[in-house]
Amino acid sequence: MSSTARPAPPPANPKVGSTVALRLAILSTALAVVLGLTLLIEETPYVFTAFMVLGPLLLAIAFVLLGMVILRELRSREIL
Amino acid sequence: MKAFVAAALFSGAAALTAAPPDLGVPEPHGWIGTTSQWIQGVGIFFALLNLVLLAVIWSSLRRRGLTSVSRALLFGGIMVVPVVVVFLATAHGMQKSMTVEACGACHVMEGHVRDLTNPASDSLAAVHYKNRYILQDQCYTCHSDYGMFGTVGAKMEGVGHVWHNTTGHYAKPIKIAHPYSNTRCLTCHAGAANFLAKHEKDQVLRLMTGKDSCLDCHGPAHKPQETQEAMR
Repeated sequence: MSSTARPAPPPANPKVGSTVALRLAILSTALAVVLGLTLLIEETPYVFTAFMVLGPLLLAIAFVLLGMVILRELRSREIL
Repeated sequence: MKAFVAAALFSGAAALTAAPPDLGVPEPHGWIGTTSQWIQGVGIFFALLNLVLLAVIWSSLRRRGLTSVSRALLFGGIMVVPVVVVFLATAHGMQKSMTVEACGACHVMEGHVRDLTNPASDSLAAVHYKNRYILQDQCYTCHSDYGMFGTVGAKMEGVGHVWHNTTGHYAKPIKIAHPYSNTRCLTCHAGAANFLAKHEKDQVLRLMTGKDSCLDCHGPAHKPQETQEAMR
């Protein structure tokens, strides 16, 4: 039985993860703002319902993603 | 950037100078718009500003990665400006969702709105509308309970109405979900001189306690069918 140890995978680049998270946060915010803009320009019951359900949710997702990136950066600098 | 500022100011100004929908009365001298119009104008400005800010951050992230400038922009673009936009859009949406136009947006309500705005109709709703007993948001004023929970309840029911209208799960002719509460009438009418003059004391007591309904004598509130037939 050969004990050929598999090579350890390269460590994930935290900067790449942060960039992806930030891009998702930007997209999520942009979607919430577009919904808000649509509501501000032309209010219909459907747009209002969609905005009230999705708007705060998308913004919360963006907050969490940005918060994660901030936390990760603070930990990497050993501030936290 | 100049073009963006000009576009944002133009859209804001357009919202502010929009004519009132139902009045031909000229605005008083020095008119600068209603609170609702200002909320709409400022909201549009901040929403456009936010989208530009997000585009700048996206491009900055791609070119230079995370810099101190992009960090500051990220905080503003994701945590500060969108909160303002969502707040203003919610305030605007709440205000607009109370209008007669919002209630009449569903096809099933067209008959009711047509009856409401028909000067020839003698239904209770039409009498209140044409005599301007209620100045604005006439559907909402009579179909929501008073106080904070009345507003919350009306909004929750509104979500249900959107759902029923979208899925088509409602029976025709549509009927009010709960018996109409006298409180909604008495909030304005109780204590009014002509109300007290025309109603006996024990009658007032029965109305106050809900033993009699205002609509027993003053109904029907709407005549959607009659208006529809008259317009054919």
